[in-house]
Amino acid sequence: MNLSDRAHRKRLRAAARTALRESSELWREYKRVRKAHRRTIQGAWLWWLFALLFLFAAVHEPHAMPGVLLLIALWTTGQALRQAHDLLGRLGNGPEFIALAALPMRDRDFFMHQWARTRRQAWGYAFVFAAAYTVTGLVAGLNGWRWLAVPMLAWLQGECVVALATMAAAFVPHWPLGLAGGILSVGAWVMFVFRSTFLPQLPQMAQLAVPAGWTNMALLEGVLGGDPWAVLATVPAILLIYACGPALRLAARQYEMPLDRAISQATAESHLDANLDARLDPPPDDEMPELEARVLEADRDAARALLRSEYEAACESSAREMLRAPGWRWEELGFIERCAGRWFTPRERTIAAFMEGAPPSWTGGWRFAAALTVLGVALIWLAPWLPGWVHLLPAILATLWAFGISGGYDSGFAMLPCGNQFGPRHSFYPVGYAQMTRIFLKTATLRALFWLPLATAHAASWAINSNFWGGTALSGALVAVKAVWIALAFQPLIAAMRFAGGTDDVESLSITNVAILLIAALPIGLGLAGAIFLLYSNERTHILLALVGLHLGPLLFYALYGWVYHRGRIDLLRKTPPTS
Amino acid sequence: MRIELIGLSKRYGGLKALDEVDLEIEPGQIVAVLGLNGAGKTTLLRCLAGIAAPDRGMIRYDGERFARDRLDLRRKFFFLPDFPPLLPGGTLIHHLTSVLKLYEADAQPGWEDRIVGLLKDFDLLPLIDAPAQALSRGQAYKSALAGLLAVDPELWLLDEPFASGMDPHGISSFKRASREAAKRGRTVLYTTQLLDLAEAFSDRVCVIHKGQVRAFDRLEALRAAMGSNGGVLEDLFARLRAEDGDA
Repeated sequence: MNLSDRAHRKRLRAAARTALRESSELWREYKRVRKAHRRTIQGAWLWWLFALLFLFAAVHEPHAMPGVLLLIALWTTGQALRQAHDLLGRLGNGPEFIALAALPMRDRDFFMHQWARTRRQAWGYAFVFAAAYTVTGLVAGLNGWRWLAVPMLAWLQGECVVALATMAAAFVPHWPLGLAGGILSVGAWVMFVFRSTFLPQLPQMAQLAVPAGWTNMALLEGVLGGDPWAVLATVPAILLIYACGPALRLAARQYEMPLDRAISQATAESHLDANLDARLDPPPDDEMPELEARVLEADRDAARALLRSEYEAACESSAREMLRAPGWRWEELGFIERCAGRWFTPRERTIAAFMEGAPPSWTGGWRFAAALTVLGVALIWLAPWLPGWVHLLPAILATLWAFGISGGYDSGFAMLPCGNQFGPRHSFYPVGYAQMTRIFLKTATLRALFWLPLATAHAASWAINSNFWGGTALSGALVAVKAVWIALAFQPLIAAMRFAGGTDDVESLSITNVAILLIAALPIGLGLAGAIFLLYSNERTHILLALVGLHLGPLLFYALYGWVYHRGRIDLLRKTPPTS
Repeated sequence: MRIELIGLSKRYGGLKALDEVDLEIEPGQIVAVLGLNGAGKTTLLRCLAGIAAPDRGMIRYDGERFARDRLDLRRKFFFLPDFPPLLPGGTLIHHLTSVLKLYEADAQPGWEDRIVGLLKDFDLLPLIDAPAQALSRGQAYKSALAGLLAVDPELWLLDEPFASGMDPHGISSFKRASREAAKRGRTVLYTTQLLDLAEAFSDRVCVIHKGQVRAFDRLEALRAAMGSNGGVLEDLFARLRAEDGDA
């Protein structure tokens, strides 16, 4: 649904421009403002970077292309689930929701408006597939009319992503779609980075497990493989797209705008009244005679006046009590939090509490990761016939729970409205880049230490059982140590990236920002090269060099970004609203 | 706290939000920053708070150059944007105690009494258990303002406090607290579009127009300079509009 008519917009703009042209000063001002706000980079450009990396792999390892396409399909499925999660978020929250909730708009129209946005975003993935299929076709020597299949299949992919996001939002809105999407996307990435390990384990038929894989099958087997029947793999994709229409209509019909959330504004008086009423109202099962009830009603005002003063005195005493009590104590939380609490200085404890917002649950995450590790190790030993990716999946999930990827501390980095823009919460308070990073690193070190035994157990079992990574427990454990080390070494970079998420560094296309991006790419490349060398080298000199690169890259990035951050070259503001 | 702005410039693409701003503000004053929409008032406050990055020029607090890593200077001021940044997932009490700790202001004797007094003054006492997201805009602003008053920083930076949704009682409490703070040597810098209010509630006014400081003086001095008895700010803005028209 379009909120405004394109023809009306054109007419209004033309009229306004005519009025502007009457004054040269106003016209210049208009041009300046237009220019100032036009040059922004969409956050989605990063996904193109990822897609290009996939393609880079396809060109250099043509034999691995089917596997790489499967990974793209997994990643896209994850993205479709994230789109569904974002759609559900936008239907009940966010700046646009608040703005549109105030307009006389039908619920169905609001739903369709937000869905249209999801559709536009999801369509970007069709271009990713178009690029992937084009490279695949070039490498495989596709010729003649068969090229026609490439845009058609890419278009089908785009529709598939839209349909999958719509179906997920319509039928399973209460599922953890964001988490599932994130795990799939990150999992695809991990498998891509370690593709020499994972791709041989992935059967080609796994393409049929995800919607985005169906068209892959049609391309690989039908168009490139010469098996015309394989084109039938597109049938479920077409059915999915066909089913999207009724699902969309159903979801739109059932949707009700949660207006109470948009206008939830409890006033002090109503809060007070609600408390007083709770104290004045007789219990529901009280069989009070009618007369007594009327007397009570008459005395209600007098009683209210008395109770109000009593209530306010109670509030004051309660406030004093609560002010003296700390919000939460580190020593009363899980064992990882207790260790962190002891390691942090008092000031760091305060800042960590501010950044975390609520008591952290690192120990809970670790316990779940431990259970996953037990499951993974059990599967390796008790069901060795299972495909390798089934054995390794619990380890990937355990990593997410035991260590985390983005470092946590979301509350401190949450984006808040600041005028017409959004700023990270930490920018409004006296907490610094170095202070917050120190907490970040301490937390990551602790969590890595506790994660290490889990990763070691899993890797050692896998190495022995699958005769991989050297085939001994020690060699497997060494891989785990290297992986944990790499994750830890990258923390300064991740910390800097968390700060970068709340700035306009890549939002405005200025020379400074482009220079920052280019300079930032060097240490990132150095760190990545170090990580890859560390994983695959066994010679002492190579390992030493890899360690230098691995640590120097992220630290250099952290220091460079810190310099730019402190010297005030970037704004702690973003024009685009935070995604849900 | 003495504030010095030296050649401060800030551009958004081709748009000059601040253009070579030079300003010196002595402590113990209430300063109203005035200007048309898009004149650069909020950008000025954001630069002072370290949120926006000036392209050129510098800011000095008490003679020391301000940068984002100068947390000692950062703790001396409190920036309250138009949308109050309350801490999520917690209650009003959680917010206030956290702010005090972040500003390292919880060691001052009698801080509890001061906060309870503030809560009473702003009619927030019954809301101590209410989650931050359940507060109305005005209540949220008063809660954030209570945090500022509890910290009692040397410099108060407030963006549109009189368009914050605060009730009349809240506004008068804020005005009273600001006057007392200015007497104690605090500097209060606020933006507003309400000229009558600015005339009645400021020691000095700073008029920004197209990113440039066009007037920074006491009201009496402005009146004398413009030969105006009342409504000096309205006259000033009328002149600026006329200048734009001539251009």
